[in-house]
Amino acid sequence: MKLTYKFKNSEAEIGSIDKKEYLDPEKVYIYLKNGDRIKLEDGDKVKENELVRVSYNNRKTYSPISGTCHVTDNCVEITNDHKKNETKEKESLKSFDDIDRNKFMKLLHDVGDSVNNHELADYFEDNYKLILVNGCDIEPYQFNIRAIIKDHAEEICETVGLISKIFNVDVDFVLTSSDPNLKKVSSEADRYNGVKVTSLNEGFPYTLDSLLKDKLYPQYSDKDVLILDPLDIYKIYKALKYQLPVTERYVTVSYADKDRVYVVKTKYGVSLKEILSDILPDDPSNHYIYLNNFMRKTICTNLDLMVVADQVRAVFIVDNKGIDPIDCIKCGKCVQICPIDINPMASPLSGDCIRCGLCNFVCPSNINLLEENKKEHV
Amino acid sequence: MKKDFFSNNKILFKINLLYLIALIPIIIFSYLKNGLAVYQAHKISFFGSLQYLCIPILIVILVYCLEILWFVYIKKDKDFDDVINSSVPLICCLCYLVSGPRDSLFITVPLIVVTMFITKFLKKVSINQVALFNVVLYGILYALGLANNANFLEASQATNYSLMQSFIGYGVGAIGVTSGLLGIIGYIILLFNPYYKKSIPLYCIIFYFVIAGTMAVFKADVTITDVLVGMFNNGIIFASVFVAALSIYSPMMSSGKLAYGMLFGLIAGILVAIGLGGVSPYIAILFASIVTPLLDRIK
Repeated sequence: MKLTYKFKNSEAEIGSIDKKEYLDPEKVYIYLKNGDRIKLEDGDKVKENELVRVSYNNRKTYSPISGTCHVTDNCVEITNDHKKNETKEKESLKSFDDIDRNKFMKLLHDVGDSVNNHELADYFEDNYKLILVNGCDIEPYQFNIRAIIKDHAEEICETVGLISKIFNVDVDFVLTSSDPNLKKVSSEADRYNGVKVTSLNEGFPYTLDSLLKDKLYPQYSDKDVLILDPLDIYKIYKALKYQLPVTERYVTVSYADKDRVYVVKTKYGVSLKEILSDILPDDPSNHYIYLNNFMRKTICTNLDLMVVADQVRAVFIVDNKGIDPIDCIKCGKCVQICPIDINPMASPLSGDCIRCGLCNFVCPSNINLLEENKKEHV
Repeated sequence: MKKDFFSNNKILFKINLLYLIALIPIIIFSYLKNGLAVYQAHKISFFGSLQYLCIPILIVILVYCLEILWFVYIKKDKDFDDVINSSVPLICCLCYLVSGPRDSLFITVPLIVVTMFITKFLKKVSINQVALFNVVLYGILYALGLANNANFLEASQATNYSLMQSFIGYGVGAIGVTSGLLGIIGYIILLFNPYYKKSIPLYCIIFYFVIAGTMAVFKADVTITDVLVGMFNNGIIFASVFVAALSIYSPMMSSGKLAYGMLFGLIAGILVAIGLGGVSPYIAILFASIVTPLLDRIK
């Protein structure tokens, strides 16, 4: 029998999750890459939602706060002036009724918000048989996706309804069965044709995009299905309705302790160190800081350089005592739990590995089986 | 939510502790069988009878002390984690229990200490050290003409025991290994260890029984009952539960575990048939552990 570890990601399992807002940071950082065009100069004043950067592939980045810019070769640093009303205003659309495909694409292009380093509008150039909205918190003990849904369920459902209508495609909104938003999303989605809500009983790793698609829709190839998450949908909503980007982000901050789990609503580009120093009483340097999937053991070595971005979903602060790797006891649990049936002890690791980290999680010897230096312990 | 996101290093200590707990009924049984019964027959003093209870405990304490010496004073480790996690005290305790003929402690105890240091150098080699210990010990005892596995009761009474009596633990064999019942109780306790390879003892016992039973069919004077009695007296159950399933020396893959059980059954079955008795399962385990890396490659 296949060994599985069911991460329910249920709030009941945790106890309570504190919601925190960190929307008025001291500074935000927008990192620059080759080919980026900066729309400001050093010392300029900038308003919230004002364009800062356009990338080589037309992705646009807006200032999440109002303040003063300091431009260097690889970064735009914006120091907050804490003026709440310094916001770039845009006209809002009263309803989605008169939006057709062309207008949809134009509005998305104009705002230029992005997903995975591509402009959002690019994703809608192709034809799909299905759009899958992955509303599950992807990795264990993350609660940020459900926080987005909780805050914006109506807007998200309205947007997927619009997408389904103008692109004539089925939309499946998938949530885990333990998600408290399930009922609300189901009733909202009922109002739109072509949108259905699926409750997923399985937990991680089936919440990963690729495994989720293969589990629910094995009949479709990868190019037939567009997978988006609720934040992407909310970005579309905001672009269509207000012609504005979404500068807020949600990050789960957990102290690897059921009594200290936070979902922090903050701004794009805020330093993680600033967030952590504000909400956590202990000095983070006494701990390992893991990003996103704690089981993958990706240690964040330089917290000063880490800022909130789309790829930053969770921060886990783990006490660095007593979790050093020791020699493998050959218990074979890593082999048993691997969802794709490879041997995690093999070196080098098979190219099929999805790096879910379950092997690390079950390892009693605390060996990081995803790393090259595991050889000394295996 | 799992309180600690990662196993802390105490998990290995807990695994070792569970092994020791599973061994406690056998330690008590060995005392009753080899100590108390002999004392009641007025063959040894009461204090002499206690050796079977005290020596396993003293060996564990002694070897933990040696581990502290090794890790803290020789390897200069800053904390006691390696000492706490060490499986050597457990292995040594097992070695004593599975082998300990009552008159050969002058060989057994030094050999346990030697085993401990061999452990340090054979860390990366898949040789089951408990099995190796036993094969070497039996070899030495045979060479010195001291091989006498008979416990006092069996040796003095030379009774033919029924199947049920053999299952409970009456029978000729080394200390503590003759009880099928206690082996099964130990197995149930070990099932609480999530890292225990529970299928290996089952495969070993089943394949041994199949091989020994098949051989019995071709022998006119051997019945299935004799095969079962032999299984209890030769320590097959004990060796399968406590020695064969030691995780570091046995396969991880499902097919490898099956092949390991088949190999064990085949070798042990043949060796018992040719009269090697109590050392048979250890030779089988020793050989199977050496080929474990190959068995893990079986798809």
